[in-house]
Amino acid sequence: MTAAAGRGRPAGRSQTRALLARVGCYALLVFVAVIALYPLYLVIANSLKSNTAVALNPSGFPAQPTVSSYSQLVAAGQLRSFVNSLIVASTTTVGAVFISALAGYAFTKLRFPGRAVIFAGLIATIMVPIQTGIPGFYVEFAKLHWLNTYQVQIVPFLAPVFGLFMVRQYLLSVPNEIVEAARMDGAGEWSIYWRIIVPILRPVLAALGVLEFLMMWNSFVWPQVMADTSNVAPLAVTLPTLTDRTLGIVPLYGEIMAGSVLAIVPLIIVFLRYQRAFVSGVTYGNT
Amino acid sequence: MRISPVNRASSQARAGRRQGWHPRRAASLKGYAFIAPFLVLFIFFSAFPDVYTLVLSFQHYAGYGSATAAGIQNYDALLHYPVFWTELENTLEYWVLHAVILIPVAFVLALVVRSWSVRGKSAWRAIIFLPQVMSIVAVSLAFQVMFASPNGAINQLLGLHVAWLTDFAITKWVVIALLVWQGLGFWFVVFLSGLTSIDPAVEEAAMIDGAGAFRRAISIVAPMMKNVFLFAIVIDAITSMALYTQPTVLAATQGVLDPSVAPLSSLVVVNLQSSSFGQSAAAGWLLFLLTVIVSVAVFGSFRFLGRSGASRWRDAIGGRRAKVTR
Repeated sequence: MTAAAGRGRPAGRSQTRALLARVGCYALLVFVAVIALYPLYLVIANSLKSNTAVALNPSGFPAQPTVSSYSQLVAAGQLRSFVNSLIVASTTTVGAVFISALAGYAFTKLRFPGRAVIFAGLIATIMVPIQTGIPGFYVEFAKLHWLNTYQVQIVPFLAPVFGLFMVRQYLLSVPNEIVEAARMDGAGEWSIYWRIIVPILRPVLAALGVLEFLMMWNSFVWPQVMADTSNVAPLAVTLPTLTDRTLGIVPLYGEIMAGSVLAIVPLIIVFLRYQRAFVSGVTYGNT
Repeated sequence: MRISPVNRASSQARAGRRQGWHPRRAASLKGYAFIAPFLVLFIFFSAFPDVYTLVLSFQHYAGYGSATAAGIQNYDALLHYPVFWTELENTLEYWVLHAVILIPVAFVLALVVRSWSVRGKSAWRAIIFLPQVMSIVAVSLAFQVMFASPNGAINQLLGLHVAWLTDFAITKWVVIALLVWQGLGFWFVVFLSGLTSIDPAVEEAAMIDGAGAFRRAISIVAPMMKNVFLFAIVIDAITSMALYTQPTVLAATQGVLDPSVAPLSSLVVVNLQSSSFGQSAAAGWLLFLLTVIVSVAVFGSFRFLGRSGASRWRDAIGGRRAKVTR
């Protein structure tokens, strides 16, 4: 703007315009920030009210803060669901990252017949919606006696094509000479993978891990169909079903909001701590 | 590979010679070994069930006993089922109506946060991205509390009596609001990282020529981000076809989702839960078919519009420049 002023525009006018633009920018950002954060506030505030207080005064600050909703949540056995979510999401994340990295290394740095065709075949399936295979999965798992287990929630997600894609994209920019030099020195493929490739891949594996964890934490239709019994079902499936034990269908919003705090807050803490991995997860995978 | 008797004499020598003679084959085996875990899991837990679903879609199967051939009856029944068309329309509406808001708003926000006049960029970025890391089910339930009627947070705050979640014409917009709210951070970050790859010199040149911020965004930045837009629109379309969680959790009243707000994907689940596996499978494959059609259509129309659009812009800029020099 100073450049524009220097080129003969009336300085006062352009300064006012710059100021207005700036105020407009901040107003927009504050507006968006309020909308982005409001549901979070609402969840936390309502989790500190009783079920009836939520129904009577859903938007207000808790007049008499209470943890009764949390103790009811525990009494309803929801900690088990929370632990189920953690077990499923973390196991899958570790496994998927390891297996994707292994395959991604082979698809970029090892030569074998059919490499390009297999890779293209895998990538082509990225468009298949998760629901498409569900009937086939269901019958397959019924025969394996895998319905309502942890493994039905974990094993099918250990080979994510998007993870393979992310690893491969990253490794394409790593020069082959690094691998060849190690091979010349007599290193086996395994030690090349473990000692050289995995350390190089660390940022992309962190990003992939974060994405996979988020995806698993959010999975809903899958466990709803395959594993909805309370001993293995994740929080995402059990939360919407928290209804009054005597009246049946009436949702207990105090309890549900307390459960939502359990579902939301741990992830936000991890996000704030590892923001870079989250944000790069989005951009690695997608640009 | 044939191994001569000489080589068998010593296993050590054999190993050495084999590597010397056929390093490619040894490398191939290692390659297959490295992709084996991925490939085996993929085949048994992705490819096979998808194909098996296709087989099921041509059968009648109730989950017990044996399946009987059904020809195209399952598909035929679905296509003559009014709910199929309602839910197809719902899925398309959710997709189009949320995308036309979401993508431009995410782009504008990225431009604003990137602009030199805004401070605290990383804080703004974190706040706008935050909804992306919140559990989808939990925020859908939070929206339920917000938009409940008569006593929801929004009605209470604004003194309204809108039946947000029981008047289904309005409920659709609540779902769309949720989709926009939740997806904004993701595309905002994608656009922001796309913007950093644009050479600032290009924009500075336009600025010196007197192009305002709006003009620069439309005529220079947006065309240079063409590929990012294409990517955003295609990926958003693909994920929108599989939309399930948000409407199912948000709009279900007493655990049941009315077909007038249900997405197409719920036909897979509903039929499965009533043990009509063939019907469910047919719905699954129709959903896949829809995804392919929509993404090809989006991709094709984008390339077509992109080409004519770019030339329009070029003409506009060229025309202006000619005027200026005159």
